[in-house]
Amino acid sequence: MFRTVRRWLNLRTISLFIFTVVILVPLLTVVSASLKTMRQYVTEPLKPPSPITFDNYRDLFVDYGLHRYFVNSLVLTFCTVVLVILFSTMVSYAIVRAGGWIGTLLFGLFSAGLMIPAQVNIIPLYGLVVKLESWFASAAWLPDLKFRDSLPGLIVIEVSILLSISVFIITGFMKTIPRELFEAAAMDGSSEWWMYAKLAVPLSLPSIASASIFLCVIVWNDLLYPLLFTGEKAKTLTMALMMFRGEYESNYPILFAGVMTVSLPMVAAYVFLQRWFIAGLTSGSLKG
Amino acid sequence: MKPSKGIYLFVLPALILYGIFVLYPAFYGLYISFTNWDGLSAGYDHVGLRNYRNLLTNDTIFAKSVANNLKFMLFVVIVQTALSLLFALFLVRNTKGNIALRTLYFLPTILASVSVAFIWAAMYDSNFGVIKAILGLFGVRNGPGWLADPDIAIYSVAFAQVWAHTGQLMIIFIAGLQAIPADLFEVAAIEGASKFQTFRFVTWPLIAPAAAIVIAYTTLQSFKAFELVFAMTRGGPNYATEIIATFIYRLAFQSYKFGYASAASMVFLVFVAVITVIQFKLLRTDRAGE
Amino acid sequence: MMLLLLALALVLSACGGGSGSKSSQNAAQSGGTSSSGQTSSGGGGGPDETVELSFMHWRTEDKEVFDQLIADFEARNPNIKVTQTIFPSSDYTSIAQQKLLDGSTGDVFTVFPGSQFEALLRAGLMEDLTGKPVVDRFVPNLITKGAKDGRQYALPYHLVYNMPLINVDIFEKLNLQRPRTWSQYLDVLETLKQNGYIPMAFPGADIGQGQLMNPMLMNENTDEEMFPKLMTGETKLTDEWFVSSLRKWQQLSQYFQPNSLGTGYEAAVTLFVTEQAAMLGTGSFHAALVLSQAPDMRLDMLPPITVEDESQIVYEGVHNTTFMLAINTKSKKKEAAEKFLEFLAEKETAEYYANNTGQLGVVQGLEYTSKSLQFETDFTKLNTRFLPRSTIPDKQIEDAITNAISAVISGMAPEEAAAEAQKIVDQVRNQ
Repeated sequence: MFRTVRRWLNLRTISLFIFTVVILVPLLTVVSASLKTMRQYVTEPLKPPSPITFDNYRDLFVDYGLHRYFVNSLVLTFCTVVLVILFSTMVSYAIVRAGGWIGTLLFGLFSAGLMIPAQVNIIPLYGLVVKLESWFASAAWLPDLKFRDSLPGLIVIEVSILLSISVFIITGFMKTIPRELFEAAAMDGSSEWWMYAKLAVPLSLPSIASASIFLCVIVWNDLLYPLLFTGEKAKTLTMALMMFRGEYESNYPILFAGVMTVSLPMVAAYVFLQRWFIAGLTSGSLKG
Repeated sequence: MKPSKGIYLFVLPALILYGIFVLYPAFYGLYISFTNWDGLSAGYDHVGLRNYRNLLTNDTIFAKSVANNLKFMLFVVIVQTALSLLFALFLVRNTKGNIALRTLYFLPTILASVSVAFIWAAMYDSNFGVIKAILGLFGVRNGPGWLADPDIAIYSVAFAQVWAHTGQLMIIFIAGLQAIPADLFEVAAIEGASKFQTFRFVTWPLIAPAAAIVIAYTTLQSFKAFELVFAMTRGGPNYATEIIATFIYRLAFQSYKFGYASAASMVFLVFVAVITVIQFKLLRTDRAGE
Repeated sequence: MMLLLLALALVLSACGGGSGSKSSQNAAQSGGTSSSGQTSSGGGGGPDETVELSFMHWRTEDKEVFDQLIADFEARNPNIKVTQTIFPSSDYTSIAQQKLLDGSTGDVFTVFPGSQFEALLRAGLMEDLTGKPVVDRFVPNLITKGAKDGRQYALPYHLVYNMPLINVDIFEKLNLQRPRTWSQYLDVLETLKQNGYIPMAFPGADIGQGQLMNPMLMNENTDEEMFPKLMTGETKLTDEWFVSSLRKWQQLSQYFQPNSLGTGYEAAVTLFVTEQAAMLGTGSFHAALVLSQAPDMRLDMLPPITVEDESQIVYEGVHNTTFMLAINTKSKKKEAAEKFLEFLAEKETAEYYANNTGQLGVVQGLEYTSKSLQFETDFTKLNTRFLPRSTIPDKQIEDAITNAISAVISGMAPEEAAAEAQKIVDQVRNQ
């Protein structure tokens, strides 16, 4: 028995234990708060909920109709991520294939987007969007595109802004694919499209999956751009949760219940995408 | 040998969207940084370099925000990178237990920054916070003012950032580790290498690209941690947690000095770009061959 | 490869093409959140010209109350439909202002007094309401902060007293009289402390300094222009009135709960509601929240009295007139917007609003039935000063002042804190 204890008392187990506690405790306070009434939250912040009440969760759907916004958030996230991955893998491929100073220039250009603070960009961006809308509306031969208060418009904007992150991550991994692979295929007469679709993308699957989960979380939780550009029609979950923060008082129990509920799809997305970045690669992987 | 000309078509869709919605507003911001526009009115004056001059020579708050941002960044990059690598190494095998732990560690990332800010502000609260309660169990009555003490506030906020994102960056390391061919480890085992030696000569060189991404991404993420800082402390107390992003927000939307804020964003951009380039150069020389 | 293109086509059509059906679907579903009544999504103006008004404000806690009022308004005006667009006050200044610029949102919107009002005035975004009958429905001396150079641009809907709330029962139990001088005030605090109470729960992590600084200064310098004059150098934060106030802050902070700078307003409310603290250092706006958690508490307000002698008292308290209603100059539906504004200014509407939200109103002749609006002392009969903080010309200066207060609470010498704050003022003057 003593031997078993010693086996478990190594650096790995201890570190994992400590970190698990550090991660769990704050999360448990959220769960605990979400199961309290507002009165208990204000008067007894540290005690566990008693009685445990699921009213907050019920109210989210019955009183506030949270389910209505799920569709918007889902569509926004799914479409944005798919489009961003598609366009950014194409750019990463081009960067990796072009190499040299052109590749570096492209990489730098797209990475610059990561260094621009969003808050200041929103004023010119909003003005631009308004101008674009009136331009589209006035030109008879162009479709009457609306960017504001429309999901497609918001998707276009989100995609543009998230390209930087995706290009940044995926290029880093695509660069590790041996150049000889491409050169051999090119000499065999394969087209760029074929090499992209059959070589570059499959070999970058772990990084694509990583980038996807990052992007999913970012778009799902995004408040700034939906707030700026949408109204009632394309309202997302994050905007709905905002309703619980007031000027002089905020209803934390229901807010935290909302946070928990809204996080569930992302947990599902993570569990689903996880197998893609632990999928074995052709050249061998760590046996499980 | 050279890629065909068609390669540039690959860049086109992304470039169009990026150019319109990211680059154009950025250039517009550059133009505005030479004016005194307040962000609302129709008119403004051109003031040349005055905004930049004030920013760099006459603004103690900006200077403070730069210093704070550096402290924040260093803490987060060092601690978060180390921890995410450590746990990636521990959890790299695909056992059920490891996968469960990986999912758990990823959960904080799923929360919006604003939620993380609320949670940790509550944890740090000096009257009813969980940390105060836990310290109380050990008999510590007068713990530090985590968010009130100007000397440690920025690190308290940085810790919340690390808590939220370690599990996320850990994934990149795992992706990198799992890409290492298993035979290399077999060879090392056959040759009798110790754990440390295996790490130093096999693992580390081959995850260098992943490390570069993690460090660079963490750096950029920590410069943009606007929502976390703003929701947690609003930049206080007395600008102890003011970072450049919150400084810019304040100037733009609370003081109505949009031209000045744009100038600050430009300086911010240059600053971050320089740091990122330095990082890339340093990490590239680290690599022990391809 | 073909599979890829097919997938791409499917994705794009799902995202793009579905917009029409999706948005009408969502509009029908989201009908409940905007306001009651039929939704007229898309479809522009129908045969009887339904006008869609946008009412933009920051009070998420008032949504249901406004929904009810809007239902009444729409019943009386069947061709006007009102939608609320609410941004929490932290996001209001950044997001809302952009939306005003092209007239798409905020036909009727709300403004903070002070620098936001000034900025919107400069940008010409508020309609001139001077001379319109709706202006006369408001108490005349309480609407000055929505006016400039004799012209009225915004009408405040909230009246707020920024003075600490007190638990009347505790005061009566200890036989405490309302103090009339600074030393009497300190005596009250000392008595509370001796009896085991936290004299004042002070939220030093967020709103405490910004609220309490007002009554602390109200009698130190009675010049209304004391803050605007900072920009011309006529007044300085190193002047005696400000330094003297900081010294008093130092004395006052001995009576806060420990670690007051790390306490947010929620924790302060908890301390007050659980009767660990006898006073709450915020304002009348928290009365409703306090009473919802402790319905039997009797509330009053007591500002810090900072004068040496009772005869020096000029002001008995501090008030703020906020949540100012304005009409967007870029709006294309001004007539309907005015109708809505007039509706809000009606006595019944304002009474319903005040009694259900716990915020005192500015419309004339209101009768309050809610307990959260009835304090033991009737401050409307006393000479109160308009919130000095709202007269500060730049937020950076406001922050410098609240930071000076925080510094003093943590132990810095008042003269030093004042000098540091003045440095910021000098910087801002150069910008």
